[in-house]
Amino acid sequence: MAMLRKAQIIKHDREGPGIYRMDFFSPEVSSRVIPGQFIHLKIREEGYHPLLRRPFSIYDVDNERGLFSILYRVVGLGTRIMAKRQPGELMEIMGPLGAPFTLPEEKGKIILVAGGMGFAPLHFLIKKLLKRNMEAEIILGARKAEELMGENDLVQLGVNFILATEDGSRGFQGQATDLLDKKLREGNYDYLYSCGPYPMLKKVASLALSRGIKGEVSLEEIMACGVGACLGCAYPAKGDKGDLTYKKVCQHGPTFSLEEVSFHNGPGD
Amino acid sequence: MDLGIEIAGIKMKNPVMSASGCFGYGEEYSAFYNLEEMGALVVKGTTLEPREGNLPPRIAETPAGILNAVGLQNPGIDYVIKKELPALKGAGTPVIINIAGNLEEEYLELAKILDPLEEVQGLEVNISCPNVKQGGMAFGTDEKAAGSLVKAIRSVTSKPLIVKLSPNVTDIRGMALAVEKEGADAISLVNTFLGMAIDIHRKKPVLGNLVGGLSGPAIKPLSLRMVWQVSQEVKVPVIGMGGIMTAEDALEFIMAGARAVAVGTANFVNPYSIPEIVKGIRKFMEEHDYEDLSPLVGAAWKGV
Repeated sequence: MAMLRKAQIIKHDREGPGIYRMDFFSPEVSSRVIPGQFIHLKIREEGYHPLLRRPFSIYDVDNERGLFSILYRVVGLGTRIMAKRQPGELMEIMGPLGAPFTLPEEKGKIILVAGGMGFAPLHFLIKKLLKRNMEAEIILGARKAEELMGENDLVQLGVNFILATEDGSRGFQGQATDLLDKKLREGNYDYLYSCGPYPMLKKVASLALSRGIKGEVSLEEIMACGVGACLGCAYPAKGDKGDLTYKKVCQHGPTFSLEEVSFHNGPGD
Repeated sequence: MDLGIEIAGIKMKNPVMSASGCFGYGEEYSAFYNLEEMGALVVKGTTLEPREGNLPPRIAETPAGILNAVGLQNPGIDYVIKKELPALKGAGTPVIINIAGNLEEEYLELAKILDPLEEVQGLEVNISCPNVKQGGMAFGTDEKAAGSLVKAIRSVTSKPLIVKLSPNVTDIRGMALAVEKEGADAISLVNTFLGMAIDIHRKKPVLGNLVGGLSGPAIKPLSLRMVWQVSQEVKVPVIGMGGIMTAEDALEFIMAGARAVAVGTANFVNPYSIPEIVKGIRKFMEEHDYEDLSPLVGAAWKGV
């Protein structure tokens, strides 16, 4: 019941330009959280600016040590304040919250597509998939080489990964979706997971669905309550009859099936 | 010591209610605490037909505040009666339904439907939503229109009638007097202040709806002033809201003349806001030897 707790920052490292990884000690969260879920973090203990909590997908979990990690990029006041927090300090967390990714019941070939910070939930997911002996590979896309996250983690996991940078400073020059298109032409994939910026997700969904590949995406939207009460994080989705409806990213999501999201009516359209 | 109060015949064990639109239909926050701890539960603005709400983004954060443009997304009164209200029957706190619409007939139909329901202790008439294109706000900014709407609703329901006012008017006192004259049993104020934010990189308004309602600590001095003004003009009880985050904030509203308070945005930051505010008010009363709340209501203007 008590979904609100203080967790100690154990480690806080810079991973790239304005990109940080924060590790928290919280056995209650690490033992319960499932890939795709998020925590709602209170940025500062006192004061009203910023006022709202910030949602972060779980990047990694270390059950033995009772740790969980988030990966974030400094984009505004909230993350600027976060970047100054030191190991040993406490932060108030709500969660784990949200609907996790569903894992395929049967063995099959899985492809994951991550754009920028969208790698965070997919990293936690890929660890779960490998534990279940699933065959998974991942496309990592970023604007430039320094913003490619988690390469070392993936090497350690022994998972196949392909890199794409928009400026060509590392790996394939172009979009992650160009690589996906190529991969889907070459191989037979059974399931897809993706997280990243809206235009990328839109392209990913269209590429996968046109080949009849099912999958899930993790969406991002500005949130207030994080628990489904305020209807602030609504996202256009297809209703039961194919009509346009709004689903809550915090509660129905953040993970949605590719078919469910109405990619023609998104905030980016 | 007794924190209990009565508003329009609705008995509450304490003066702290949820603000409409900030608490859904209670289900989400019942995971955090027993809803019995609330003075009353005011549910999300409900319309006759289901509403999909506004295009996202619906939220923009501003200094010490939130702009929202949800657009009255709700599943419609039939669904609320069938699916949401039964769950609240044993909630142990009075349930007040916030009703909203575009046309007078819609408000009347809603009031008629809800009138016989035992599980509904009162109606809050929303004439102040800034985020829907028609109606709502139009009633809320015109004394004559507001008065005649309240009169019409009064004639079709015996339920306690709370009228929620918009702060987006020149003279809030005139609005309050107009709805009191036509039968409002209580007045709640205020709804959100119309505002906006612009994304300088996209060169466009942040909100899908372009403009939205500002809530949170940023508006507290404004809403407090309105409660102070209105409570000295009207005889019916005033429910104060607008930026209440702590028990100290709630006490300011009570001393400004509010008999009860409602907590909205604070729930999003701290889901335990309402029980913590109740606790803080109790502590204050203990420390200052108050047996009940009545000497505190309007204490600030009584003493001037």
